[in-house]
Amino acid sequence: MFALMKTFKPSLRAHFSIPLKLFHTSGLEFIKANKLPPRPKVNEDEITEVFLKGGRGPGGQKINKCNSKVQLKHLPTGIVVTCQATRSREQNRKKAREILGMKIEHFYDPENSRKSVLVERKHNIKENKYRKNKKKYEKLEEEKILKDEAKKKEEEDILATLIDPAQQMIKPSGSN
Amino acid sequence: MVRIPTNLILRARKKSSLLPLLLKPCKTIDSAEQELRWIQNELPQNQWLKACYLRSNNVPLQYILGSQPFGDLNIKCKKDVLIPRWETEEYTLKLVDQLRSIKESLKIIDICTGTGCIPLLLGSKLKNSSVKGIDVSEKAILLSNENKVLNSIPNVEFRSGDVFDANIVQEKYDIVVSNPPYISADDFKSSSTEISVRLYEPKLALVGGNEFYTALVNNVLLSTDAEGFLFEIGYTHQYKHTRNLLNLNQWNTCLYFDSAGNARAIIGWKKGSKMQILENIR
Repeated sequence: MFALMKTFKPSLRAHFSIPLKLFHTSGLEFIKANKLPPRPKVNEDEITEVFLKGGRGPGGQKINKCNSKVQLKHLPTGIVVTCQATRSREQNRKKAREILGMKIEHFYDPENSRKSVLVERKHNIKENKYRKNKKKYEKLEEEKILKDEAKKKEEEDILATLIDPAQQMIKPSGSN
Repeated sequence: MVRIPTNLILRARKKSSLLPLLLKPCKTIDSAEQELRWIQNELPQNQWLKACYLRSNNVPLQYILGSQPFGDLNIKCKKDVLIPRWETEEYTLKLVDQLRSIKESLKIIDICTGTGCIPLLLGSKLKNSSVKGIDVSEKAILLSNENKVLNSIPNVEFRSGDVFDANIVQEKYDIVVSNPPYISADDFKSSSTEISVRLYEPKLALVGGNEFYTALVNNVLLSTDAEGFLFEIGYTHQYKHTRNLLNLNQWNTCLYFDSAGNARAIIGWKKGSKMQILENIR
């Protein structure tokens, strides 16, 4: 019985964590603060779609191709986008439209586009990381310097205590 | 067999030690990298090397990964059953677009169904229709039933049957779809058929000729009272052969070209019937 409960425990925890998160206000604020502009849609009338199949040939049952490249061209701006990220043509079509939508939006309104927000966000994350890293190593360096100084002092103290009797020993031998 | 230049192998080796294995089936670094990415994405790391070795022996990637996307479905692929082709996917989606405009529920039958890709895609998109898939191979029926469960599509059924059996179907259907084996025996031996297809895909699903179209028209199309049909073809003479079997006072046919510009299917509809919309498939 106990073993059974043990096996259920993680799933139960996962089950309860969902409503808990909903009431966690600070979490919600966090999501809102980082909200991105919506994914831009592409007008299907303004684009041409081509499926590129690498190489000519008889096709059909004779050939078994697993790649499916999708190329989209936005006629008013002339922006061309290709996508072959997955093996599924439907997925590639969706993905290509997402990329093209972002590019078109960026073309018309570079300042407020989703793309620039994403780029800025990425840049901020990188910068934060760099700053944190720098801080951490500065702190480490400082500690190291302090430690070194303390060690030096200690060594000097030890040396001093060692040298004193030694000098006393050397002095009489030197005078002889 | 095209020789792979040594510097290509060396360049591939610099990127990944697995990449040179994939150069043999892929020929270029770009496509080899892509296949490697798919292998790495879909298989656990301890299977990568084995997968690349299999691929370098020209085993189709779909048999190694175990699946092929078809429309928005994921179709399981196994040895001894033909892998769905993109041309089939293309015309099936176009067929769906046309059949959607008919509001009433349709009865659709697919002969030589293989993995069950065509009926499953039709069934998933046309919820109120009922689709049947028939294949002569027991392995294909097992796999297509697996795919039905995998994609949870209730309105599709599969059973075994031989297209050359005059009593293959008893019920009535609205439209007949088929992707029969159509490669001629000579072409199957020649280099026009890809080596991985020749070595690893089932000959039963590939090599055939006009006899299949004769059987499809006589045993299925005419006995089910269907008003429309779509048969995949490999050569234009198969179009002419099929057309000549029909009573042209009743039937209209057209030759469908895929987006690579090859003659890919014969589409037919009874004049004045609701299947007249099939003429819009381009």
